[in-house]
Amino acid sequence: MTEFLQLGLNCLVLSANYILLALGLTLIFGILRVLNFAHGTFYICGAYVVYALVQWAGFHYFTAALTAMIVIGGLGIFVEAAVLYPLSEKVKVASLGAILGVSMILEGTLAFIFKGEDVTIGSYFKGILTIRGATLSRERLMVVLLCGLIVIGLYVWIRRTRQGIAIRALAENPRVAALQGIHIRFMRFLVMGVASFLAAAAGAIVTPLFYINPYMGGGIIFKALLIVAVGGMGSIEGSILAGLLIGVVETIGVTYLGPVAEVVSFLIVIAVFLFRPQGLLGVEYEFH
Amino acid sequence: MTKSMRRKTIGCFTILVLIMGLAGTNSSAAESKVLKLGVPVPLTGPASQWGLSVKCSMESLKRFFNDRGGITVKGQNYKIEMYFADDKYTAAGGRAAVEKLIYTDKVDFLVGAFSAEAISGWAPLATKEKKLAVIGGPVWNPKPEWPYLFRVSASNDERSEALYTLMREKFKCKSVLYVLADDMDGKQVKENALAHAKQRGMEIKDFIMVPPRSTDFYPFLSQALKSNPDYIYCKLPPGSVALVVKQARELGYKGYIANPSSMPGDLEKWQQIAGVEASKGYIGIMVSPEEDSPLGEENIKYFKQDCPNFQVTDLAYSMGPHILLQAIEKAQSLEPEAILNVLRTTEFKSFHKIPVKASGEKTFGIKNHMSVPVSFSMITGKGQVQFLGSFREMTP
Repeated sequence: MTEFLQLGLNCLVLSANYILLALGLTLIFGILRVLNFAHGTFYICGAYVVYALVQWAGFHYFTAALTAMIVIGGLGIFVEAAVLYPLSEKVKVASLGAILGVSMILEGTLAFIFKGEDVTIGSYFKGILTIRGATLSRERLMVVLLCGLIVIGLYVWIRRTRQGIAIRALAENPRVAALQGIHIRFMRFLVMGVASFLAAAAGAIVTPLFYINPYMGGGIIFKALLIVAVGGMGSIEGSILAGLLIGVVETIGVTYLGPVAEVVSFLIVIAVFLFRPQGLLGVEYEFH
Repeated sequence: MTKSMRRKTIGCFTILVLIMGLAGTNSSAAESKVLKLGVPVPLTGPASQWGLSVKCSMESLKRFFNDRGGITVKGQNYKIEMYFADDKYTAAGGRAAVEKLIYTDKVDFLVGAFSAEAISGWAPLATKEKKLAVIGGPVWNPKPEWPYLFRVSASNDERSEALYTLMREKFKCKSVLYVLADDMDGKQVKENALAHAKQRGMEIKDFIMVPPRSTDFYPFLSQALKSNPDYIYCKLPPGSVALVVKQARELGYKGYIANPSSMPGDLEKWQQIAGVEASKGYIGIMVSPEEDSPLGEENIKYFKQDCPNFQVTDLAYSMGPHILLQAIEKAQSLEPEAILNVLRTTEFKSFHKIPVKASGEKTFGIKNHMSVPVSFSMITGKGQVQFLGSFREMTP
């Protein structure tokens, strides 16, 4: 019993972070039709803003996290305005190349400022919870709770607000959405801002838990892309489902099979693509 | 000014410049020559933390030697010059870096490299070009097919052997759980542990092989720690080791955690990741100041001035080039074969009280290998360590 409970708790922590990270990416793809390779770097940037504010300016963790989300949200809007929007009418490869360039510039800047060291702000929520013999540190519990809150907030925003309806309309058919009076440019900025906000949130939430390094973005974007693809490009529900699935498979795999777990994850990904090439909950999309 | 006057002025000026140039050439010929050392290390990417420490310690070493007039070979004085190239911690990056150092910078020797992957990328090139390379790092064992590579560092096997002795004799440990990176380095440690398990009298509880830059060890550790090992042998990059320490303690592990690698340069920053309480009892390689030789003390002074952002323990990176420069002076030759012969047969002053001598053949059958003493320390508090002991030339 304890063993399964521990396994379940481990799954929750991993899945929560995966879902939060993948949601921003799928949102951008759904509206902007761009694979945002800078998303992983935004995640790390968010974590570093928290680190800098806490370590250098003495901010409280929550204030620093909120500031980081706003700053990186703003950075996302700037990237959309300066790089992606001007290229939106060009071939997709131009946007891809440009966003990769943005990612590299940000990574280099972080490495220059923070010297490539592994750093953290240290534990903010000290203490351990023991639930029927299974262990969960308070900071891990906070990760699950905060991720859960943000995911629910995003879901309600997308499903229950006028902006959310507009975003969904835009994702379905941009031309028809424009004819209905939806301001496409504004919505693009909004989506990029929210997606970057989510990336920064994911980074900010795990800063006390793990360490951060300027070069971690590459591995993170790879995992996020995998989740988005399995869930269905552009599908919010799909990303939540895929995040859970990959988190559970990886945790169980690692616990019982060791490094072979990675192979199991990929087998599941291949199986999903064989039976549903558009992903679990995705619709078929065109990628020019 | 008339046309003829302008011509005369230009003519005189040209002659003057030529005379000055020739005079300059003559005077520099009488002065020192330059001995170029090429340093292929990771300057970007996840391992740049180590590469930048190496770079700084090399610059400090250069100043140390040049302040003493450089080195003299057959009456000719040589000043030391360092050239750096980013090996990106990969085989392809290593190859590109060494191509640049050999063909563009035209270095005389290669020093400082420590990444097994990167070295395996450029070792054939160094052999083809007959460039003597004095490398560090515990992983990559100089093989007979690469005769121009010589390692000055305790090998993985020697470090592990020293750690087993320490844990068995001082802490009475009888069982071990390995947490290793699922890469070339980790696989080598696993292979060695399995090969010598019986002689070491250490029960192996399990091997946890994790992807190199892992951060969440809960899934790995929650199952493996049930076997209750006396100590965890953890060989991962510093940040990941800190997380293993933190998460193992969270999961209730109370035994020792040891790593046969250098104690983190910035210990307090590392303890911020691991947690001060959790890190107590963590064992790593760190020389006690009492073990420093006069040469070591002098070099520490230089290092502290040149590399204020790095820890003194990082000075160890310059040990190999230091010995190479001593060997060149002893050999009185710049020929790789002559220097190699001296490296293999002569005793050298080191930063440690104990002088060093090539011992690889005697210990693990590696000819081009010079072990340095392995010293362990244990964390006892915030930024505090306790020296445990030094070991040398360890065999199973």
